[in-house]
Amino acid sequence: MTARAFLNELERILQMPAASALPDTVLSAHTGWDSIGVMEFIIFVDDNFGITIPAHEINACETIGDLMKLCDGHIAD
Amino acid sequence: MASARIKTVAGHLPAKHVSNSDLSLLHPDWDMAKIEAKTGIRGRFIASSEECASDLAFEACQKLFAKPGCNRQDVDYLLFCTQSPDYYLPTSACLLQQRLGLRTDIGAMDFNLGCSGYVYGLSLAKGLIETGQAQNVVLVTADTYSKFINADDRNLVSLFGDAGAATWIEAVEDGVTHIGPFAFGTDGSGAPNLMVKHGGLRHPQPEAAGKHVACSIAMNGPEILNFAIRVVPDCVRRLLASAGLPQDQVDWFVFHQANLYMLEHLRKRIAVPPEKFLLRLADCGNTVASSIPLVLEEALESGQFRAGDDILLAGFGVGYSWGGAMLRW
Repeated sequence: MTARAFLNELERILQMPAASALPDTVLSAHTGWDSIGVMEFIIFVDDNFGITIPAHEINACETIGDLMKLCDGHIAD
Repeated sequence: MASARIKTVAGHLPAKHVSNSDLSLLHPDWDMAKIEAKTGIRGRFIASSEECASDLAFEACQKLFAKPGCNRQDVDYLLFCTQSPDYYLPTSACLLQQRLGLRTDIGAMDFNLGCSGYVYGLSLAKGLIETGQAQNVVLVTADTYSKFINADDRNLVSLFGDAGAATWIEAVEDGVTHIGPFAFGTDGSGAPNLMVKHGGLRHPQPEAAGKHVACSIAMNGPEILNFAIRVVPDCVRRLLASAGLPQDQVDWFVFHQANLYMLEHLRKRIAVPPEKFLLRLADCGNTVASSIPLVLEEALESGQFRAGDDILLAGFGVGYSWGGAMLRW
C-alpha cells in the first residue's frame, strides 16, 4: 500500500478533510480517534496487511507516522 | 441412544427501552450517529433498579412454559448462565426452581460465563441428556450488565442491553445428532480486558467518602476485537473440520451479537454470505449470553429454520472464553 493510500484511510477514520492527513498529524487532535476509531484501524490493518497489532501499541501512538511505523514493511514510500 | 435437541426458545426483554435519541438528549456530546453506524445498535432494553437477572430469567421461562408441549412439570434440570446473580449464595437457579414451581427432584445450577455461555450451556445440556441424567433441560441465560456500567461510559452504555432467554432441550430417539460437535477455547490471559474487578472477594467493593462505589465493567474494546479476530475464524474452522461439513453446506451462522463492525469483519473474514448470517442487535444491543438464543427465537418465530438445516453457533468474549457448536434443526 502506498503512503498516500494509508493516509487516505486515516483521513476516513479520523474524520478529517480529504488530503489533509500527514505523518506528523497528531491523533488526539481529532475526535474520530476514539475507541471506535482504534477498532476501525485494527480492522483496516487486518484487512489490508493481515497483521494484528496489540491495542496498547496503537494507544501509545501519538501521530499518524507512529501508526505507519507499526505497519512497517506494508507501506511503500 | 437419546440425542439432545432444542425444542424451542423464548426470550424476554425488560420494559424500559433506551434509544440512541434518548442517549443523545442525556449526552449531547456523544456522536450517536457514528456509534449507530458502527455498532448497528439503535436502542437497548435496560432492567429497572428492582429488576435482577433472575427476574428476566423468570419471565423468559414463563414465556417458554406457555408454549405448546413445554410443561414445567417435565423439566428435570435447570441450567442458569449469568454473571449478575442475585446473591453470592445460594445459586440463583435454586431460587428460580422455587419461583417457577418446578419439581424438587430436579437438578439446578448456575454457571458463570458471558458471551460464550449459550454454547457452553448447550454442551452441558447435551451431556446431561445423552448420558441419561436428564430428559428435559431448560437452559436459561440472563444478565443485567447495565448495573455494572457507569452511566457516563459512552462505549459501554451504547453497546450493552439487558435480556433473558430460556431454551428447552429435550431427549429424542431419532438417531440424529441435533446438537454438536463443539469447539471450545479458553485463554485467561485476556481477563483484564473485560472485567468487573471490584465487588468480589479478591477486590472487595471500594468505598469513597464512606459510601459504596458502584462496581463497574472495564472493557478494552480494541483488544477484545483483536481477540475475536484471532480466535473466531479458527474456532469455525475447527468446528467444521470436527463436523466433517463443508462451510458452504451450513445453512445459517449465528454468532454472539457483539456489535455490527466486529460481526461484519468476522463475516467477511470467514467468507459467510450475508444472507446466511443472522443478526439481531439493532433493537436490543449486545445482550451477552442471551444474544444467540434471541437470534434463534426470532428465526423460529419467522419460520426461517427448516427441519434438517445446519446451523453454526459461535460465542466469544469475557474470560477470554469462546466456543462453537453445530445444530441440526
